[in-house]
Amino acid sequence: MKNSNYFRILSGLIVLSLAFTGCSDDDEPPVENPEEVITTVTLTFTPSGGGTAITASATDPDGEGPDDLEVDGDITLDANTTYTMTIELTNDIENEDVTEEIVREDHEHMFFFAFTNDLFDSPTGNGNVDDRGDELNYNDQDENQLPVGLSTSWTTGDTKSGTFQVILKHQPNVKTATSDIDDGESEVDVTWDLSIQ
Amino acid sequence: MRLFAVIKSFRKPLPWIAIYSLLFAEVAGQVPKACDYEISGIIFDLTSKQPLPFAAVQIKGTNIGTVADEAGTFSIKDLCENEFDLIFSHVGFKKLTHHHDPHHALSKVFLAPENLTLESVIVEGEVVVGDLHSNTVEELSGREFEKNQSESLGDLAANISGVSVLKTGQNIAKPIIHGLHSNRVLIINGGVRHEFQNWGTEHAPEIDPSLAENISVIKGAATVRFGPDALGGVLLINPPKMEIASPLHGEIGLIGKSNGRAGEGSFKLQKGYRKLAFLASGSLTKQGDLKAPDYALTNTGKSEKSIALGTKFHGSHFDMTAFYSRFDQELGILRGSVTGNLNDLATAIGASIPENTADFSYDINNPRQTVTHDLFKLTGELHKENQSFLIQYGFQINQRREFDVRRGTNNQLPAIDLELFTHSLEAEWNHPAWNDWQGSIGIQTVYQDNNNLPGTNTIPFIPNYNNSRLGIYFIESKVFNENTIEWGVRYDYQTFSIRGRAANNDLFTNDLTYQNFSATIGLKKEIKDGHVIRTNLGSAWRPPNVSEIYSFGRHQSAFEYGLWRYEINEANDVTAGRVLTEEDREIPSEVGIKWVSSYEINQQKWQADLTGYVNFIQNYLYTKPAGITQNIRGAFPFFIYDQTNALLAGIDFSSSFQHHEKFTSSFKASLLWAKDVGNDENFVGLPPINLGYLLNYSPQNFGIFLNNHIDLDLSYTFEQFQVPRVIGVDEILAAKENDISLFENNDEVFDFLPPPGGYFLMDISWSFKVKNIPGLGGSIQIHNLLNQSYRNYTDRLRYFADDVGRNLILSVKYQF
Repeated sequence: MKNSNYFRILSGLIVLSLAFTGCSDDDEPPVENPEEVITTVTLTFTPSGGGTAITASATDPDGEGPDDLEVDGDITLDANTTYTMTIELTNDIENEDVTEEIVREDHEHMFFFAFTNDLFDSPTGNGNVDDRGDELNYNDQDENQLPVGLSTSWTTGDTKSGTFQVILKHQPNVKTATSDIDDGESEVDVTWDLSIQ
Repeated sequence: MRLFAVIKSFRKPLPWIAIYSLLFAEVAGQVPKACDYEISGIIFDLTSKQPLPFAAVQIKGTNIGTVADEAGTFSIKDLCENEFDLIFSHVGFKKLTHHHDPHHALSKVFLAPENLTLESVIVEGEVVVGDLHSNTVEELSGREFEKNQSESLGDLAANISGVSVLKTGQNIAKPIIHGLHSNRVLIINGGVRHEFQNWGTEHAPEIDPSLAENISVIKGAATVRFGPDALGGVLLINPPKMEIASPLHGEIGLIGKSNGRAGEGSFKLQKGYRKLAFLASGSLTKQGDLKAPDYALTNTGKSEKSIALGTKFHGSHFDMTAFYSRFDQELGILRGSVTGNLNDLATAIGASIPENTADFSYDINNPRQTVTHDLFKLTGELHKENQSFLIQYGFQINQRREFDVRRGTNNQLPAIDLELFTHSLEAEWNHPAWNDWQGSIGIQTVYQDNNNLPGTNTIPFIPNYNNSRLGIYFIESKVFNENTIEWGVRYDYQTFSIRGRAANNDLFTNDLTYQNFSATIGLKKEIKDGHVIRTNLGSAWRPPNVSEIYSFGRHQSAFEYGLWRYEINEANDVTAGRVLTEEDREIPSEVGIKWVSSYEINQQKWQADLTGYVNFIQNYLYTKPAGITQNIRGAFPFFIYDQTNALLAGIDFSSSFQHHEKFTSSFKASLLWAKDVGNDENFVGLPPINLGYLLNYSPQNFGIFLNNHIDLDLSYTFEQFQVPRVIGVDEILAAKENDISLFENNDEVFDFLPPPGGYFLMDISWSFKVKNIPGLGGSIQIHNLLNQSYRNYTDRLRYFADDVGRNLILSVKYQF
């Protein structure tokens, strides 16, 4: 039939396009280094009068997986002692020290703390999560003379127990003398049980 | 697209159709012999679609011509030539020059009133092909399109009844057709499937409507013609036509908006020679931070650039078009919507003014998206007396970079950096009638390559993949008496080749194959003059998307695990670590069947369209809550993908009535009901019931202004009542603290907040032409005149901020 010549073109194309399909992907996605992941938070309480430092840590080996993080034991401090607490953040997947990054960008970061009311002799109260103005002993400052919190001081009194929460906020362009827990995004939010003996 | 042209020509013609419908070869009159060639047609008013009496028709360069009769019909007999230029003219209407050749019957001529920027148009040959006579199609009226052309594609489409919009703030808008969106809605841009990262609810189609001529929606499951994914419907974008033998003409437009202090400039240039036509158009937009009635919406600026170039060659049996377009966008996302863990989310939701709200700025900071989309297409059309053949190649490049608020130098790096290449090749043969059956046979092939570009410092959210698809279809229709019956079948074969990285950077690979048959059957019946019934039953399908299979990780304040990224152990706990395969968990395709019927009335003074539909989708892919995890950052809920069955049904209604020479009322309503019938639950984010009323007053003269249109536009959106349970963030946090598993025994979907209340919006607008300066016109519009504070249920940022407040829009357009 004279009319069928377009059909011949079409059938030719059908055969051609079969060759068009069925290529496989040989582009492997790049190996990426998820630098921002923090897998371990370590708190080190060093007694000011000398003595053994006490460490506590929390790890989350599955990162963005559904498993909960593991808080490695409770924190036990001696009574009537002053401690300097330092915080270390690491990415164990990449073997990276995230603390250094926080130091470099300390003007955008701040640690906040919440604890059972009057758990410590100093600072008194329950920490600065509920109210930024509340007492806390920061030992470090950023370039704008605002506290950072990688190093803080804590004085214990008599035997007590309660909880101790550490929150790191990323506050790019919003960290000020009054910026609080509601500003910025949380990068660390871990709670330990703490007892003073 | 041709198909589309056809439906249009059948119903509500569009300007550009003339070009594309060139395909529908049909001889006008007889094969030319000596001086017995005849041409005839009907002339209509483009706005009212009613016949336009007494228009003049002339053959260019001769004194041969005629005047149409009262019914708009004309005919010129005894012509010696069969190829010539025709000039149509009428007082108050735009003159139209059209190149006629004997392969295209000249059936309908639509003259545009001078006050419209739309051009007059010819719709040629009514050879109808495709599964679409019986499918309900609705397009925007010319004036409505013109009025809203500077909006995003999603917002613009939402002016069509039955279409709503899924938003992530003002800048990111995706169309929802009959309750479905993203991978369940297909977008056809100038005949080419728009290919982009459609899986993400915050990935809007990269199409600039200011370069289009109009848009319309196919409300049925049009898979047979267009391929997988068209479960909800198809959104068609019609690019401007390229007219042979037309003088140099074009337009320049400027738009200013008070809200966001936005400016937009656009141009269009066209020229047609005897066998060639050219088109160039472009647009530039800059917008700063938008404003809600009570506060600034910080970081909601955007900047957009687009350009389109086209050329067309017209031969006696052959037409060829080449078209290129590029859209380049940088879109800011509300700063106050950035959240980390659940506590952050609670704070952001609770904030009376979004967090980090600052003074007005044009700066676009993180979070933001930079997206580009390039489209190149080459179309060839062969036509003979009773058949035609189309071949089209399309090439698209879509680049998407998403920047989140991140620490350190990573803030400069995109968290998502994807590049998607799509080649498509399709051919269609409109065969000669076989025993009165008109129809077409087509083949469509697609080859896609999706890659994550290195340097994001995040494990890619979706893997790399290559994707090939082959589809073959038949569509046949037959007209008897006042009825048109049609049927169509299609077969698709699709392969995926996947290469991805698990959370520990281990490589995983898989090769998948999906195939499916689709079918459609329908009837169009003209009951009496101007009354048409259409009914169509069509099946549609789509394979699961890579994101539904493989996504893994955090997305804002939630974690999400694709179907092959989680397992449920004996203790009923969700674990994720291993990457599964089809042997562990089968993922059948989503298969839908949609029945859509409509009754249309087209009378001199009033038009109405009532559409009803039912859509059943098997293996519907969705996410459901599965637990709460505590990691170093704090507590997060996590969601897993699963499959269920969905049933959606609804009614759309639109009508307009001219009660006076100068007054017209229009009414629109849409209602949707949907249920997860697999679990007997409600879905999240269904568009609520919406009612709209528009009163148009059109005084011809008004001082120095001509062709005035004054519109009062009222709309009421009801509070959505089909909602899932609400579980507040505080409740989730409390449950986590007290070790209560909220989702173990009840994995029903939930929402963090109840739906926002209903709201009433009022817009006014005035458009005009300037007397004594031909071609100059403009408009003044005020959106949200009452400066109403409201939140849109289908806006994902409704948790954090109100929608935009009052907006004064001034626009000037000069046509030459």
